[in-house]
Amino acid sequence: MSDRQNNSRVHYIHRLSVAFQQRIVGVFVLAAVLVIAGLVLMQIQSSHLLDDRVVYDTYLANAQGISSETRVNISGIDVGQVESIDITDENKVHVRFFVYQRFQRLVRTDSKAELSKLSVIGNAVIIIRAGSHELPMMPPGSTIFTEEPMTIDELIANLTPAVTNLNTIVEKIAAVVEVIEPGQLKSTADDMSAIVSNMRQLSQQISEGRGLVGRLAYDQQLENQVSDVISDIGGIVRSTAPAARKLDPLVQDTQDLIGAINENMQKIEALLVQAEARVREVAGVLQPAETLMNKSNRIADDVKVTSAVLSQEVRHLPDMINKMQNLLDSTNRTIQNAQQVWPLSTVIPPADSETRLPNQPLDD
Amino acid sequence: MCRILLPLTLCILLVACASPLPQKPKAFNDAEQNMQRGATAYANDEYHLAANAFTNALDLYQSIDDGSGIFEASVNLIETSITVGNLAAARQGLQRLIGVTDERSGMDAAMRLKLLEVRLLHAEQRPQQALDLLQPLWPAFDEGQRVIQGGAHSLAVIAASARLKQQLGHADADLWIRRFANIDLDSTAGNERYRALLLRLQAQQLNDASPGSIEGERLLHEALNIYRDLVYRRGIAATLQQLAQLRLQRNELRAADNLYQRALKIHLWTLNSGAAVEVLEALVDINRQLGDQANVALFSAQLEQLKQDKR
Repeated sequence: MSDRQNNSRVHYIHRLSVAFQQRIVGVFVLAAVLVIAGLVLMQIQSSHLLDDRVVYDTYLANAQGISSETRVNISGIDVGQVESIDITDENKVHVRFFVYQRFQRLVRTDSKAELSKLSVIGNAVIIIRAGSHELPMMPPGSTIFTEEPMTIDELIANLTPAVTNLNTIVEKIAAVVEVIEPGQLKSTADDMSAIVSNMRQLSQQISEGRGLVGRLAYDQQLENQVSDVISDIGGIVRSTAPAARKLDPLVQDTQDLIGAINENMQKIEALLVQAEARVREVAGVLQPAETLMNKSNRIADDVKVTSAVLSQEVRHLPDMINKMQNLLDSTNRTIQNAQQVWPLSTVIPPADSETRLPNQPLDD
Repeated sequence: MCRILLPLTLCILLVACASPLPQKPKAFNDAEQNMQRGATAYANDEYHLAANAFTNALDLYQSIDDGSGIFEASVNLIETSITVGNLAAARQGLQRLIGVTDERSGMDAAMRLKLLEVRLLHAEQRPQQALDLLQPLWPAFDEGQRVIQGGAHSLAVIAASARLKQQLGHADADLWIRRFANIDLDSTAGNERYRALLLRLQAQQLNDASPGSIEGERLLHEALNIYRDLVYRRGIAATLQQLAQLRLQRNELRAADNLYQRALKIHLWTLNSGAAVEVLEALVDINRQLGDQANVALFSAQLEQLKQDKR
C-alpha cells in the first residue's frame, strides 16, 4: 500500500524504461530536425537559390558603392545581384551581374542601366530600365550601358570654390569682430544717440523760431532791428575808422587765428565723417553679434536641460546596476540549468561543484 | 499558414513536456557559488581570493542560519588561514567553531574538526600535541597492520600519524609508514597527494637509514612528478626542499643550492613564509660554505625582510 502511494507520487518518467525514455527523446530530436529542415527549405525557396540565372556585363569608370552583394533592380523589383567585379586592361571596372531567368523578358535590347543616386553614400543598386516589349530580349552575356551618377570627388570639386569664398568671408568677419571691444562699442553708440537727440532738439527749436538763430531766421522785427543795428554800426565804424586803422595789425592776427581755427574745423569735420562711417560699420556688426549672443544663450539653455536629464539618469544608475546584476544572476542560473539538459550535458563537463575542502595531508 | 503553425505547435508541445527544474533559494545559490569559487581559488593557490569567497559564503549562510553551510564555510576559512600562516586567526576560528559544534552535528563534523586542529598544531610546530590529539582516533589494525575497521577519515589519521611519528623520531615511525603503505590508495580517486606523501615518508625513512640514499632520491623524484601532475605547488616546494637536504648530505652544495632556490620561489609564491624562512637560512649557510659572499648578502637581506614582515 505504502509502495503504491510512493509510486503514485514519483513522476511518471521514472517509471518508464530507459529504452522508452530514449524513444521519447528521439521523437523530440527528430521533430526538431524536421522543423530545422523545413525552415532551411523555406529559406532556400525565398532566397532564389535554385532559380536559373542570366548573366550580363557592364563597364563603369567608378565602382562607387558596388560590391558582390549589390542588388539589381527593374521597375522596383529585386531581379538579381552582382556576381563579380574586376578591372579591365583599359582600367575600367567590369561588373558582371545576373538576372533571374523569369525576369529576363524585362531586359530588352534598348534597356539601359544606371547606378542609384545613393551609390555615393555606399548604398548602391543597379537599376535597369525595362525596355520596349516589341524589341527582342537582350541575349545572355551582352553588355548593358550604365549611366553613372556624380562621384563624391566631383561633388566636392564643384563645392570647393563656394566653400573657399565662404571661408574668406567668415575670416573677414572674424577679424572685424576681433578688433571691436563690446564696452567701447556700447559707449560710442550711447554718445552717438545723445548727439543725434541734441541735433534733433536744436533743429526743432530753430524751425519753431525759438532761440537767437531761430528768431534770426523767422522773426521779421528782429531782422529789421538787426539791419538798424548794422547801419548804426556802419556809422560807428566810419567814425572809428582812424582808430580801426590802428587796430589793423590786431585784426590781421585775429584773421590768422580764425584761419587756423577754420583749418582745425575742417579736420574735425573729416574726423566726424570717419566716425560716422565707423558707427555704421559698428551697427552692421552689432546685428550678427546679437544673433550670436542669442544662439549662445540657447546653447546654454540646452546644456542646462541636458545636464538636468543626465543628472536624473545618473540617479537611476545604481538601480540599473542592481537590475543588471539580477539579470546576470538569472542568466547564469539559466545557462547552468541548460548545461544539465541533454544533449548539452554530454558535451559540456559539469562545473566543479566541490564546495568542501578535503582533509589536507600534512605534506607541506 | 500551415508552415507557420507547425513549428509553433511543436515548440508549444516541447515547452509543455518540460517541467521546471527545482530551484534553490537565491541566497543559498549565492553562498554555494562563493564556496565553489573559493575551493577553485584554493586549489589554484589563490589564497586571498579563496579567503574572500569563503568569508562571503559564511556571511550568506549566517544570513539564512544554515548550520551545515556555516560549518563548511568556517572549516574552509580555517584551512585557508592555516595555509597562509595566519595561525592566530585559524586558532580563533577553530575555537569558535568547536564552541558551536555539539554532538548533534555528528561524528563526521567532530572528526573533521579534530583533523583540522591536528593540522593547526603541526603548523604551530607542536607535533607532540598533534599526535596526542590523533591517538584516540587511531583505527584498529590486524596482524598484517591493515586497518580492520576504519572510517572515512582513517586515511587522513594514519597519514598524519606516520608523518608526525617520523618527524618526532619515534621508534614506531616505520610501523606507521607500513600501515600507511598498506592502505589501498588506488581504491578511491583523489588520493594522489597521499601517495606522494607516502613516497616522501619512505624516502626519508631510507635517507635516515643511509644518508644520501639513491633509492630515496628516486622516490622523491616520483613524488615530485605526482605533485607536478597535480600542479600542487606546496608539495613541489616541500619535495624540492627534501631533495636539497638529501644532496646536502652528499655534500653536493651547488645542487642543493639550486634545489633550495627553486623551492624558495614556490614558497614565496604560495605565501608560505615559515618554509621560506627555513629555506633562506639553509641558502645563507650553503652560500657561506661556497664562499659566494654576494649571495650570502642577498639571502640574508631577504631573510631579514621576511622576518620583519612576519613580526
